[in-house]
Amino acid sequence: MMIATLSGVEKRYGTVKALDGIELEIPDGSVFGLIGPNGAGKTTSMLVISTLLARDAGKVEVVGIDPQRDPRGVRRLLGYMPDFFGFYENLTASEYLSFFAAASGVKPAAREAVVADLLALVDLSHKSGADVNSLSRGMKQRLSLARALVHDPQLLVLDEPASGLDPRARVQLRELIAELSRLGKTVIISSHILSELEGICSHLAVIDQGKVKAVGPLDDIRKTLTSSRRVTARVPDEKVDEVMDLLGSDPTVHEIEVERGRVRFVLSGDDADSARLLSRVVVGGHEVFEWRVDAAGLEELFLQITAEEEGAA
Amino acid sequence: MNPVLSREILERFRGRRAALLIFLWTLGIGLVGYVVYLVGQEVASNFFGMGRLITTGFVGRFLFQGMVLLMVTAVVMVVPGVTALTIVGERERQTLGLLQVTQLTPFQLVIGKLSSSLSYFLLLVVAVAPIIALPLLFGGMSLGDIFASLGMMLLTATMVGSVSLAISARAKSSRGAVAGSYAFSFVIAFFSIAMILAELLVFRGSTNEIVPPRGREIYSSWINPYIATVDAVAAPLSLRNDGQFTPFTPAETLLFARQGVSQSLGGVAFVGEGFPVDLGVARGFGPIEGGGFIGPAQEVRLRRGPVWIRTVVVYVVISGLALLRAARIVTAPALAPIRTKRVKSATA
Repeated sequence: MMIATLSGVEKRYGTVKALDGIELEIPDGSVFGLIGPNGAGKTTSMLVISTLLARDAGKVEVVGIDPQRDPRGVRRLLGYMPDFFGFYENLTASEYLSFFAAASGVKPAAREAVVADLLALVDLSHKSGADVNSLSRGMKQRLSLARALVHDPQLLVLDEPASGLDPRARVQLRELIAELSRLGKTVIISSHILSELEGICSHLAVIDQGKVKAVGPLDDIRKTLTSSRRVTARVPDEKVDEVMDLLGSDPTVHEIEVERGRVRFVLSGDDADSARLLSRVVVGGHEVFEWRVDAAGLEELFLQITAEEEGAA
Repeated sequence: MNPVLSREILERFRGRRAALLIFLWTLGIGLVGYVVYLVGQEVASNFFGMGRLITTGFVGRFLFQGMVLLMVTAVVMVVPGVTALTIVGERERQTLGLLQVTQLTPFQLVIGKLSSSLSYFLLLVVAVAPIIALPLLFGGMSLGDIFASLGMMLLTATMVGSVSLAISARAKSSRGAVAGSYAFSFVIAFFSIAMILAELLVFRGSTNEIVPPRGREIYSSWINPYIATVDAVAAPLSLRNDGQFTPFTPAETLLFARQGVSQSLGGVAFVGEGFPVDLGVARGFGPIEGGGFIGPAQEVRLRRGPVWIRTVVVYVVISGLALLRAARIVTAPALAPIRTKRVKSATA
């Protein structure tokens, strides 16, 4: 079941076409990553989904509702966290959350408990009485996430949530998003730092120049797009040349080289080809200390996808 | 309670700054009130040439009128300042979008902002209420006068606040919002006085008198908060018999002129030529025929309705339109036509 769909969505800012017929289907319960360079259309797509921006053309449904026709209906089920903080002066963390809980329609009797639970979830209970401006960047980001959750939405839209965070804060945020996913929330998350999304996204859409270049479950994209993988093999030093000759004779092996006692090459094939090659080396009487196959990372995928498009153009 | 209002109150009144501002405000009004009192006492003793006891009613009225005009000035000076930054401020600190994705309607957002600005102004009024009510001890004015003046001030504050809010919603920067709000406020309060004078001069007709004998509607006066407040407090207009200058005298003179009566500073009124019938009954003297002298304590039958009622209508309409405009600007997503044409699907 899809929690949000965008079909042929267009959006222009003056003469610039920010969205050029975007097609997305976001499955319920997924962690859906939007990746793309700056200006690709990620934030515009998120603003359209989050009821903050009117599309020029196309069709959008969020939880079965058109955000332009019934924005309040969508807002009841959606939590939005932009790529900036947006805080008020002279408010404590709990007052800040309490205000947004009230604005989001949380009943007065339930507000205190909701605020306490959310502060605990984002590990800020000890800062409930602190002025929001005194919090660190990572804490502010977690407080922003708590704010997006005050009305217990089904769908969370997080625009560049890890932007500007230090490595420790990034890890904390990633764990938090994983926890939200375990709690059954659907998360749409964007970033142009692809390593941020690796490991938390179940689905992915690559956007560039307002168009979807690739979309689907992360593993499927990998399988579809990457017919090659990088293999590293460690064998006894005296056997390196023989192993290189053996592997180099195989038609699936390319770009073979020796680096710090390890044989590295690009394999044009799948896991079965990798197993076949390993078996060939072992049967050939060579000891193998290490055989590592690296699937293509998001950055590699992204470069490959956008390179294909550039080539086609 | 509107969440925006409760948050703004919390934010605005927390800290030393708010307390200090209210202290300085109260001190300033108190000092100005004292100066007005001294001036009133001086004027009274010079005119009546009697002891203080007999002139307390006049001093009370003088002080009250001075305070009312001061408070109207405070409305046009303070309200734009506290309202102009409300929505543009949300936009600048990037919280407007966060509010827009909550369950708040655009109108709730706008009303919350307006009521927070008005609550600030009301606090300032309450802080100086004892000073404003002081003239009650002297006499010469009534509790009804206080309520009439407060009502007009609140309406003026609401109107100026609503327009400032619409300007704030539309403004690209705080500076632009503040400049626009103060420009509007100054037009309403001060430029309208120039408009009144221009109207009197341009439309004076064939006679050489600025106000024709049968009076003339002065349309610019409908938008001026000073004239409306004086009219609301002074209604029904009556010619006073003390004839002394008070802070209301210029506005009252204009209001009489609008009725075709010219009031001199000497406390007597001269009825213009051709104005015999509509003039009221001179108390104890019977109807007055032709142009001539009206004795003391006269009442004038008004040929035109009070200005303040027209001002109320104008201000309510302006406030309503401004609030609708502000609500429309903060509506998200901005209303835009959706083309039904399907575009070619992107390649996946």
